[in-house]
Amino acid sequence: MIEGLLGGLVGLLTFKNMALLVLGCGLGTFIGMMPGLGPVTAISLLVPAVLSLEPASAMVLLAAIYYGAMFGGSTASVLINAPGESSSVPTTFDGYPMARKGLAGKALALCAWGSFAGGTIATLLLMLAAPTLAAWALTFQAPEYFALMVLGLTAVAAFAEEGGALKALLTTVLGLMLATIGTDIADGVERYTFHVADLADGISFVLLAMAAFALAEAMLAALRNQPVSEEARRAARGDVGSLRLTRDDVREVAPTMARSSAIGFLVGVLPGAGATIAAFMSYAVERNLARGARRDEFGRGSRRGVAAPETANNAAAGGAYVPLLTLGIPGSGTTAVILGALVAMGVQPGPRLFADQSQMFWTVVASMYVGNVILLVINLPLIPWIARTLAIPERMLVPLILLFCMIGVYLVSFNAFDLWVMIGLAVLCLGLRLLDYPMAPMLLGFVLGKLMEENLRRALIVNDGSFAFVWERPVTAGLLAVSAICLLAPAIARAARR
Amino acid sequence: MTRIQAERLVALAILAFSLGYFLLAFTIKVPPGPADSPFSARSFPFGLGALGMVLSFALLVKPPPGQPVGVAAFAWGRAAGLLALMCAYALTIGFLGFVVASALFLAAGFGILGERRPLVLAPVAGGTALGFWVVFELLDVKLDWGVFGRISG
Repeated sequence: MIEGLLGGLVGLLTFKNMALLVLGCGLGTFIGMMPGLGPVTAISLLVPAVLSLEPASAMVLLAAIYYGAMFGGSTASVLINAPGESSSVPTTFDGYPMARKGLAGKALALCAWGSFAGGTIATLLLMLAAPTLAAWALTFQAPEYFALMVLGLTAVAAFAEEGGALKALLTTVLGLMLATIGTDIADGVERYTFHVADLADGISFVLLAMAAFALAEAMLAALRNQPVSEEARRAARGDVGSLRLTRDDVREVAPTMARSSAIGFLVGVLPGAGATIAAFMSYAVERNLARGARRDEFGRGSRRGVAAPETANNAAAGGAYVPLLTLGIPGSGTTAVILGALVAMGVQPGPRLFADQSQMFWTVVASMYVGNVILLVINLPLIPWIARTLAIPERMLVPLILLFCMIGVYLVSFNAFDLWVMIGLAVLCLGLRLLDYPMAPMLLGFVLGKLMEENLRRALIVNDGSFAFVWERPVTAGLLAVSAICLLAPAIARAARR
Repeated sequence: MTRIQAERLVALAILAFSLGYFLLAFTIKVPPGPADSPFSARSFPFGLGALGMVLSFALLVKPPPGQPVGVAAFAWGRAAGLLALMCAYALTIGFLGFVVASALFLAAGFGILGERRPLVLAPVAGGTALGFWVVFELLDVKLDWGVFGRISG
C-alpha cells in the first residue's frame, strides 16, 4: 500500500498534474460557491475539457473540482445563507448565525479545516477499503454485476425525500430509456434513432449531464429572477473578520470532525446516500450528543454545528469513490458524471482497475491528499477575495453558463444537431425539476444503462434464458434482497409512523 | 393550475411517452439469429417501457403532495427569450462562426436578463468570446469563423 502511494505521488508530481490539481481546486471552489451550482454542475461543465487529457490527469482534475466544489459550497452558506448545493444546507443552520454575529471568518475557517479533516480521513479510509473490496469484487460475474447495478439504482430512490421515491425511480427509468437510443452493440441494430444518422451513436453523456444540471440550473435561475442580496454585497466587500481558530475552538470541534469524518465516509460509500444525507446525519448526531448550553447553541451559531456537516460532506465525497473505483458503480450524480467521463476516455472503473491500472488509482489517491492541503493553504487566505465573486449578478452569470454548455457540447462533435438535442432535453429536465423530479437518478440510469443491459444479457444467455441466477447465486440474491429492502423501506417507515 | 393537476399532467405525459417507447420496441429489427436468443435488442426496451408505464400510472393515480410551484412569480419571458437565443445559436453557429455567434449570444443574453449598459455589455461579450477562441487556439482546437472566415479568404 505504501509502495502504491509512493508510486502515486511520483505519478502526481509532474508539472502538468500539479497544475491541474491547483486549477481543479480553484475552479471547484469558485463554481461550488455560486448559489445553486454544486459539484455535479461544476464537473458537468468541465467534462468536455478533460476528455482530451490522459485518464489519470483527468481524474486528478475531476477529483479536485469535486472536493473544491464541496469546500466552495460552504462559503455561500455561511456568508449569504444560500447553499451552493444541498449538502451545504445544514452549514447554513449555524454558519449564517455566526456570520450575523460578526464571526464569518471563524465559521469559514471551521468549514475549511472541517473539509480538510473530512477529505484527508476519507482518503485514508478509501486507501484501506478500496483494494479489499476490489479483490472481493474480482470474483463477480455478470449476474452479480447486474444485481449490483440494480442496487445502485434503487438505493437512490430509498434516500429520496418523502414522496419522492416514485419520482426518483421514474427518472431512473427515463435515464435507462435514453441509454437505449442508438446502435445496440450485441445485435448491431439501431434502436429509437428514427433513421437519423446523428443518433446512431446514441446520446452523448456530456450532453445529458449539461442539460440536466448546468443548463436546467441556469434556466431556473433566469426563471426565479433573484437580485443580488444585501448579504452578498456585504460579503463582496471582503469583510469577514478573523479567520483564526483559538485553542478552545480546536478542543471543541476536533472530536466532532473525527466523528463526522467516519459518518461521512460510511454514508458516502453507500450507493445513493451521498453527501447530503451525511451532512444532515452528522449535524443531527452532534446536536444529540451536545449537552446543556452547548446544545442550546445549535441553530444560533454553534461551532460544532458548522464543523460537522462540512466535515461529513467532504468525507462522503471521498467515500463515494469506493464503489466508483472498485465496482464501477457510481453512488451519486457527481460520481455518475465522473464515471461517464472515464468511460468516454476508454477507462472502465471496476475491480480490474486495480489489476490493470493501479498507477492511476494511486495517483488519484495521492492527489486527494495533496489537493486537500492545497485547498487549505491556497483557499483559506483567499476567502475574503473569493467572496467578492458572490456579488456577480445573475444577468451576467446565466448567459455565461449557457454559453459554456453550448460550447462544451458543440466541441465534442462539432455538430449543431447535438445542440438541438441538448436544448430539448434541458426543457424536459426543467419541467421535471419544477415538480421536484430528481435529476441524479436519470444520469445514473443513463450511465449504467448499457452496462446493466449487457450484464443481464450475459447472465440470461449463460443460464439458457432462466432467471434462476437470481436465487441460486448467493451474492446476487443478497444484493437483490437489499435492493428490495431499499425500495420497500420508505413505505415501511411511513406505515410505522402512522 | 394546482400542484396536483401539474403532477398528474406530467405523470400522464410520461405514461404516454412510456407507452410510445414500449410500442416502438416492436419496430426494432432483430437479426434472425438473436431472435431465438433469450435476450434480444428488444428485451430491455420492453421491460423499461412496461416499468415506465407502471410507475407513471402510480404517480397519476396518487400524486405525491408538494408545495405549490409558484409559476405566477416566474419570469417566463426571460426564460423563453433565453431559450429562443439558444435555438438561434444552434442555427447560426455554422454560418456566423464561433466568435461572432458567441459574442452575439452573450450580448443578447445579458440584454434579455436586464443589462442595459453598452459599455459593459459589448466588451464583456466580445472579450469573452475572443478569450474562448484564444484558449482553444492554444489547445490546438480550430474553431470556424463561418462566413467571415470565407470573406477574408
